[in-house]
Amino acid sequence: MPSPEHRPDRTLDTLGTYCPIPVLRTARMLAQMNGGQILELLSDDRGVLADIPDWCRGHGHEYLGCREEARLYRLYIRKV
Amino acid sequence: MGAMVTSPPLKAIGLISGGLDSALAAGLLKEMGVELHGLNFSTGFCKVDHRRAINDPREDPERLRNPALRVGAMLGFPVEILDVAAAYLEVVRNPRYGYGANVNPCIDCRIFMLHKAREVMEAEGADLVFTGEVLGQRPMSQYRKALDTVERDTGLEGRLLRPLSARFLEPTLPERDGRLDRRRLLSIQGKSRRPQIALARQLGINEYEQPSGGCCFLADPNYARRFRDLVNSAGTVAITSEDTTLLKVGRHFRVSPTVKLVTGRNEGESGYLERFARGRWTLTPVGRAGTFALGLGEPDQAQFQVMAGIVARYSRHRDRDLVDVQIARGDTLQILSVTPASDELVDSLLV
Ligand code: SF4
Repeated sequence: MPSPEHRPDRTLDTLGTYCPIPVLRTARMLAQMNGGQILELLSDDRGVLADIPDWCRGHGHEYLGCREEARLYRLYIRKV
Repeated sequence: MGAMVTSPPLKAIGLISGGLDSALAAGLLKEMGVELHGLNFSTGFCKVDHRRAINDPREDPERLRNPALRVGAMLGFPVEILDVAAAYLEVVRNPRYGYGANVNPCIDCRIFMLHKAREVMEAEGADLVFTGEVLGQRPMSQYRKALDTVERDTGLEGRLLRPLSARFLEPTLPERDGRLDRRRLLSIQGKSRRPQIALARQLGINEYEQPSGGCCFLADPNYARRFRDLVNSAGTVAITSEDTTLLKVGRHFRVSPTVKLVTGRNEGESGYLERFARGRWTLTPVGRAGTFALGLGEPDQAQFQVMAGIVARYSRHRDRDLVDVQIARGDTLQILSVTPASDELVDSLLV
């Protein structure tokens, strides 16, 4: 689960977009970040709850968890 | 003492659909020590992507999952999604090798994807491209001749590996130079799924999508009927990505060669159609009595009457003698009181 010490270094807002856009933009954003930095992804596409952890596992990034507020999801990823 | 010379591991770019066959091909190569990089194509015709866009809160989350990313996570290799929708529409409009049973241009589709895979292979200095194709498994795209056509047209001769049927096919370059042990590749062919299911167990692959084709709108007979109707009335040149997107949703009624009505079958579909309302006619029963519909084209007044009758037929007021239907576009608005359309009329116009 994400804890308060997971302060994001960057936030990516993908509200209103659907598969495959949130994953594509996450990949692009992480490519610009440094190893160890944390990305916060905002999405209202429920599918990201499955895809982002899978995508992270395949690419070796660390998925830290998700916070949900009324159909808005905040997902946290630590770049390797 | 001479130093040991170890050659770098082979690197292969794979087409990963999320179906069992491409997962098995990847799993097998992974076991053989090949470094993998998967590609998954977002063509604009994937059913999962469409379910995501509808965004119905009641939908089972498992049906929203991208199965290719699942395979990458399960086997531990990166799968990259490529958004190819714009270029892919050209393939669908005008396939050189034609369509399969529906509007699935499978051979052209393979060639398109393999071209992209070849670009990635060259950019990454990889050795091979692989797919999960099985000789003779499916009509059209997996007969020997089709496999050869695809290999030739993509310029991947000697670099296109189908690990599941490899023993029936010409050895690829890395097999010939001994970097890939041909004896460990497989000789599966035909329609039986038994060998694949046994192999899945052996490789510990327990989650995968239905056999490929099931997740592609182009291979869906209902979609194909609507697509052909659109081509017959509009011609392929005029078809846009919004047109092909709208074919995925709701009920479609052909009112004239240039006029069509699309009604939402539930809240999710109505909400989705509303996103396409700009610049189009919208038809709704007055008093929020159910369905939302889009009118495509430039209907005359008699056609508006017919369209309003259909909307009334699918509203909650369908048992009334007269139903008020609002028709609007931008600042133009009218309300028609119409008799709900008969079942015969609705059936005759349904695409
Ligand atoms: S079923 Fe669809 S995605 Fe699969 S090869 Fe045919 S056209 Fe391409």
